[in-house]
Amino acid sequence: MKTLFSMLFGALLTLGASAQGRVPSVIVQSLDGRKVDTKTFAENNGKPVIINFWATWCAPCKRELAAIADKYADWQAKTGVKLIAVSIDDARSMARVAPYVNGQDWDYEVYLDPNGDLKRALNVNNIPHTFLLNGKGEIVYQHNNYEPGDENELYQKVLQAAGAK
Amino acid sequence: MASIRPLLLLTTVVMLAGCDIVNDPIPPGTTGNGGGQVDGIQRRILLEDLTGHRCNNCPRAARLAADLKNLYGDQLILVGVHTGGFAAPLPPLGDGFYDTDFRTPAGTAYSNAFQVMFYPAGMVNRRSYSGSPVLAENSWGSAVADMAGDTSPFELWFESITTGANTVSTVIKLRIAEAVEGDHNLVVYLTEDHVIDWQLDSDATPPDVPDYEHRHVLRANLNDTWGVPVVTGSAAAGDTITLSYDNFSMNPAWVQDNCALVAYVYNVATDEVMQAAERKFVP
Amino acid sequence: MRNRWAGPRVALAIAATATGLLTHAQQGTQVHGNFSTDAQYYNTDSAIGAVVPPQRFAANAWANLIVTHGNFEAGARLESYNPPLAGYPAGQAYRGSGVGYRYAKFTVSDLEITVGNFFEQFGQGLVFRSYEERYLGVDNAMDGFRLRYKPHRGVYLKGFVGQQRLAFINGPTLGPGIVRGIDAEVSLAEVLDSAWTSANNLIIGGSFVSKYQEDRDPMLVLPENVGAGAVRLNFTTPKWNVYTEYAHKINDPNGKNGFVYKDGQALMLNATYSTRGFGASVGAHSFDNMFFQSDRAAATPFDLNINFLPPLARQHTYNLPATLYPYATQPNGEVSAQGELFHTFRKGTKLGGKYGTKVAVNYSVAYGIDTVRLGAADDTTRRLGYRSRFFTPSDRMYFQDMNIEVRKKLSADWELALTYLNVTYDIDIIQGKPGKPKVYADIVVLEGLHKFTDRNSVRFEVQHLSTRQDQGNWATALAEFTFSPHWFVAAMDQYNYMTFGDTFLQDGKTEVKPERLHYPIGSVGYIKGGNRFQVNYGRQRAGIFCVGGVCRQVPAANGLTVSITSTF
Repeated sequence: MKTLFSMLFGALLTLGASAQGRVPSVIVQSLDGRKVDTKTFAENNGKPVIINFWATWCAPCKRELAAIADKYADWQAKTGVKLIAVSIDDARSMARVAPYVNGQDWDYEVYLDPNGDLKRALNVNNIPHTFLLNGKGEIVYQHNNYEPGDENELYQKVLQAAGAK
Repeated sequence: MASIRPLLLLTTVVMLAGCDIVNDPIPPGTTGNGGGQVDGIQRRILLEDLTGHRCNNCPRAARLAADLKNLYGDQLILVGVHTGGFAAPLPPLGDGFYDTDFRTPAGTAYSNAFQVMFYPAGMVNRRSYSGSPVLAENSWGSAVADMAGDTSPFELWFESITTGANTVSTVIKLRIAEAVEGDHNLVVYLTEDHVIDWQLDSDATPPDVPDYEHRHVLRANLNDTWGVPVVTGSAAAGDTITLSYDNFSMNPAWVQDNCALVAYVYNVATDEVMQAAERKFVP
Repeated sequence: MRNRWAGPRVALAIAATATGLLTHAQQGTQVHGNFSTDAQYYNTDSAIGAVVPPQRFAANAWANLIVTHGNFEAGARLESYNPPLAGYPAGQAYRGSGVGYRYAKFTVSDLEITVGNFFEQFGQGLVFRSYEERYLGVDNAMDGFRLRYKPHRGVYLKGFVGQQRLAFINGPTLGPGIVRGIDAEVSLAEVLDSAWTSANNLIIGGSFVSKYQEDRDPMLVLPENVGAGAVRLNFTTPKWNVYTEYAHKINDPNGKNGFVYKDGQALMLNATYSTRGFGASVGAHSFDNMFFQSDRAAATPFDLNINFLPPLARQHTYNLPATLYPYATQPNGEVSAQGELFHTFRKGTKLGGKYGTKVAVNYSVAYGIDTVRLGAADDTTRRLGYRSRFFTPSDRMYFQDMNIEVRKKLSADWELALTYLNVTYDIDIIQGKPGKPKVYADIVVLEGLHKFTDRNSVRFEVQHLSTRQDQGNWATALAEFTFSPHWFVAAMDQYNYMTFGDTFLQDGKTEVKPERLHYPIGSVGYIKGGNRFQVNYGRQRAGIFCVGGVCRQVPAANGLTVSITSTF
């Protein structure tokens, strides 16, 4: 059983590494209760898209979004990038997402994934987790965890994705 | 619209199957007649109540076991096995507050082997349900009811029990009524009833009860934790095996008149108890 | 008897299909997954009562795999617990390795069919929520089939039948009950589309869930089919969001409510208002006899839950308030309320300063529900157990939490956050420690972030908890050095010094000499892309680890922990 496990794991690591991922089609909720298909996330007029998984109870996630918020206007002006913040807050804290986001003065597109459907579909283990899609909707970069300064690396990747359209 | 049909069908099925409203929860005639008559040797049922004096929900389970005992009478044999963290004496020792250590090496071995993860818990003839023989107290009734109508290939009884000054001797007989396959072992417990000591009880005010009556407390095993082999490989019908234990030494603090011996035969491969017997020192 | 090789065969089949599809280099075939492991080596440490399993080394590991091709998707999860970490999972024991989760999903026009395992939620989960919180060990995945259908824009229908996952013994074990449910939701703004000209939305939904479990109980006539229904309403405007859901469950005698035949009810109300720089939220819950498990004799409150009742209290992120005195919902009877405010003082204003100031205020309270136990004489035939006044609190306060947080960036390199909490905690009811007095605690946390350079920074926290009950006073200091984008090093010490004096009033009564213990722990981590490696070493105190609405007790431990996660 254990050898099977490691064989499978090894085989699939090599397989997975060769394919460019795309955002799967999963239903999430917008803050006004509408259901949205995540297939539409990649649509940004051929510009890059950042998908960031966070929650109101995740302190590093909030630090990351706050750090990017300071530079977001700049990033958008230079690259046209759009940041989609997907909150995995469940029934306990879902209600506080909208007041929190507005209370923080953020300009992101925020969606709710209360039962973790998109989180599972994108194989996210823990948050914060960030994906970067290029203009064609392919996942070109992903990053787990947040440390102050990580947004600089993210921006370098955004520039690459925007440049290599 | 063809694809909506399965969903519509599902809806109807679900709505119709939804609700059983019970207005008379207590069925008539539920006292004393237990398992009824069987054609053969009645299989007695061993209910081991895994408990501890600091387990606040355990007295509720003990009361439920007592209700089952009322219902099934002599067919149900109760043993209280004190084990785990809740059975440990509470420091500081010597202050007379939860100082008694009711644990036994056998009890600890059983709780480790069967992976007891929650209390109250119990085992009914150590039969496994959903992969484990350890059951929450509300499953005990159904498990006992499952086996109450069974017969057993074994006839097990205590031929004699003789007491001395802090000793007990016994002769146990096991008759094989039908051919059996597989290794079987026999274990003998010594239990003491009506032990008065501290118990934490959520349903009592205050919750620390100093004079709680602990029932059927497992005090010692007369033989090994996992018993002695009585059937190896297979046994033919008709054999009778005699086991005797002489002058087993008892702790002087135990009240002999409240004590009893419990013997049970179990299948080594499945752990399931196939027959049990109990006899009090003083009937 | 389950076929031991069924799971591996499925996984192998998926892998073979995936390889086949990829080698043909067809557009649209994706194979992705993740891997996660937490491994621990345990040292003995009698001073803290550290738990040491006989194997000395424990590891939880999971690997998920998803294959998508057009409208088809299949996935599996391999799990390994040899043995699982101490205190994991919250409910029934796990052991061994095998395939714990497998499914296939097809989408045919607007109908999505899933067979095998799935997770699903109806509304907020008051009557049905099947979900996983892997790091807590909560997983009540369904095993059966599920349909999702969108007959018209804005109308969503769901239905399912299945059994729930109970535990894992070389493969998942299922609970004895069968659960089935349907849900319908209509989102008016989407239905009416261009005919709906306002920016508001009204969403109406209803669900019905029932469970079947055989009755073999010799002493009572138990209902074999137990149903619960819920209705919900959500009204949203660009600034407001009002949500309400009501659920009703028929007689469900179970081990958690003393086998009484009373009906169960749940009500959730919530309203939020938000605008640029300001947000406010108010909520109230009432639950009465709402344990709904697919085995009426489930061993623990974590097993086989069909529904999910969230606690109406703020989930704290700082170590001391989050792991010592967190609130847990009381499904058998609770009336609770919460209010929150978020405000940003803009930069340039008086209170805002140069960079802006953020303030968050929160208040939450929970009481028991007003009940009158029915005496034996009044209750002989129906066995209802008690009468209660729904939405009326009893005299007993279970929990109260008042907290305020102020966060301010002082300069380009410095940021500080100061938080104060006042907590009243009925540890008898919430943690099941009868006889222990209510805990009154004051907690202060100072958090700071200093950037040395663009890439290197240090974050520190100083926390202090003072109380005269339970374990007494605690002080925590934590420093985390981060070297973006790959490294971090952290050290933390928690000190339970109990009191400022020579003796400590334990349980509010007995004076004892305080046993002052330190819990130091160090960590190092390395992150690259979707991979993360972390090593911790030190003493971990016993605590309660909560994610969402579920909390589990984590025992004290001493040793080395290695965590690896990877997404590919």
